[in-house]
Amino acid sequence: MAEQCVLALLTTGEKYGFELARELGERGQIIASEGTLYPLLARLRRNGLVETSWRESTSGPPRRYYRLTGDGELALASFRKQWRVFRDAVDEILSEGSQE
Amino acid sequence: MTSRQSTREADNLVRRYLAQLNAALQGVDASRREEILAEVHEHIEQGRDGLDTDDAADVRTLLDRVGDPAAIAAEAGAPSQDSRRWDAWAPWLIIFGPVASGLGWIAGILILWASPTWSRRDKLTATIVSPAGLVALFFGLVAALSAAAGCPGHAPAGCTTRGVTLPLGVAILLAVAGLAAHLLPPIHPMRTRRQQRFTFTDQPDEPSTGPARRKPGPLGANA
Repeated sequence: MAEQCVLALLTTGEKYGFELARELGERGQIIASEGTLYPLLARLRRNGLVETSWRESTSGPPRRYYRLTGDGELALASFRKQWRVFRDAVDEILSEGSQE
Repeated sequence: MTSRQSTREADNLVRRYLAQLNAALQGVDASRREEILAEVHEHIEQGRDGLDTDDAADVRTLLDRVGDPAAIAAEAGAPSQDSRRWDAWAPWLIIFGPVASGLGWIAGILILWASPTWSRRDKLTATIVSPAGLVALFFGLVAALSAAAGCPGHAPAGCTTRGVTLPLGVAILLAVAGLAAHLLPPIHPMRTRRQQRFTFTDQPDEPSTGPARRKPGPLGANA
């Protein structure tokens, strides 16, 4: 699930690791700790769902930016569909339970 | 405490943290391990750039957010510590196993290949080069002995050297090279292992290391 969240955060444009880690970390629950984002990003990259490029930054050394690939967009689109179905199913079951 | 001292303490914390992460990531292949280490390091440095005061307390909080090295390693698919408990035996079995009994050597090789501690290249080298070195050592010794006995060249009766007719110098060289080839590949993994042990023990003084540990300093208000 965290992988798909990273893909979704990248739909608004490329980001560097620190930015992603802070965004996910601040929302809580999605990743165990900021550091666990990096193995996850490495996996997404190996699977061709994101790609990286080095950019100069205004402060400090160059940064590695992550951006969605075509495959990444496809993977995210299919997850969105599955997620809706899954969420609706769970919602339905939970609401049935609460009515009794 | 001056700010310079404080920064140095913060640097040490970061260095220790990265050493722990490196140790936890053993068993993940080298290129991925380096990538993760580099990125986490970069993350920490960027976090420190954003701190108002770059002192040890703030860096500790930052490292807490980065999280437990074991959790990062687990996310990276690193094998657990259990798969390494026989590591210490492997080099000794590979060195002395072939001489004592073939079974010892086989056990050593099995441990070597089952453990995530060593790279594929180290495993291959220890498996192939080490026995080849032993064979070279054996032939080198035999040739050296027969050369010393004056056998090569015009061999008198009783000198059945069966083709092992090398000049003494070459024979000795072969034996020495063989000995080195036999010993060095298993010893190299042993050193790798020791370095890892070192980074494991090189842990920061956290209260979690045990109640018996007393820590002087600003946080030393232990009841």
